[in-house]
Amino acid sequence: MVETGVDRKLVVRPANTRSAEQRRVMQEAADDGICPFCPEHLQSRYKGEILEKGAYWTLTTNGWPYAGSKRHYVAILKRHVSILSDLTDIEGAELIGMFRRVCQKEGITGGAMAIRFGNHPKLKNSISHIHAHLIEPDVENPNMADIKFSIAKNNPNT
Amino acid sequence: MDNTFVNPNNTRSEEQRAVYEQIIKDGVCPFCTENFLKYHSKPILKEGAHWIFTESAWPYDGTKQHFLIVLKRHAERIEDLTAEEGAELITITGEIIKERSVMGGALAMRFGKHANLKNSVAHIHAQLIEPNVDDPNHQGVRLPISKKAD
Repeated sequence: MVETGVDRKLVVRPANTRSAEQRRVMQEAADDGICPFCPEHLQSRYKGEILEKGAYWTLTTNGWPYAGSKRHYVAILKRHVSILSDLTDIEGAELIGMFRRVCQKEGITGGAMAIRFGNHPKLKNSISHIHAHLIEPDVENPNMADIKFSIAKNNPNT
Repeated sequence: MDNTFVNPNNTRSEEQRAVYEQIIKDGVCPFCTENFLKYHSKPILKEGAHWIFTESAWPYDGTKQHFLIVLKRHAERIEDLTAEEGAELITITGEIIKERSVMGGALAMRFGKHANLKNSVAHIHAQLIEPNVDDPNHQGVRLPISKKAD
């Protein structure tokens, strides 16, 4: 359910994608005026595999994992929220529980969890529906790329 | 628990590296509550049952506000966190976002001990980063997670 007052143009930002295919999928969502992370669109608009459905979050594999990652998960909040401070304590508890279990199950001993938020056009989130990344870098691979989690982009003037 | 709590190779200034080298000499975890204020120069903004909220002593370039949220007990992995700690992390972060009018950015938590990981302190802590996007010379903000294997 999309909350009222959301600027639909800002739900997805195809410019912040990292591949042509991801950009195409995001552009289609933007053109159709829908949020691809809302539960009614997730399966048809998102390439990631759904691993677990909680009461508040859906745990998926990232359809477009970062270069340099060994495993890359995305937990997507079921309700449409774009502001991090709107999350509740129960949602925080379930998110950490979900990531804890996947770390235990897969033996993930290092990496990062990260949540982008906000609607400013210079921010690097591609979908302003709250979702949390869990990234395990492939640290033993000598050809691994550096992983840097982009939060904001350069000012175009610089 | 081994006795390496910080990685001086992941620091970003000479001053930060000097503090980390002192921490290694002292053989303690700088983020455990009993040691925290000995090494951390910024005021504590909020203290919950599980987390301490403060400002980063070494904010990233390009940030308008950069906070640290440090777990009070010593833990080093996400698999060690409890549901109660997850609940409070989200609520205490939400309070700061409202009180300090954080317009957007990221909440991020690196973890693990490996030479190719980019966290500098092993003790679990999250970062709340608000980029200074209105600066006309803004160079972007990226949180390093790992580096290419040596």
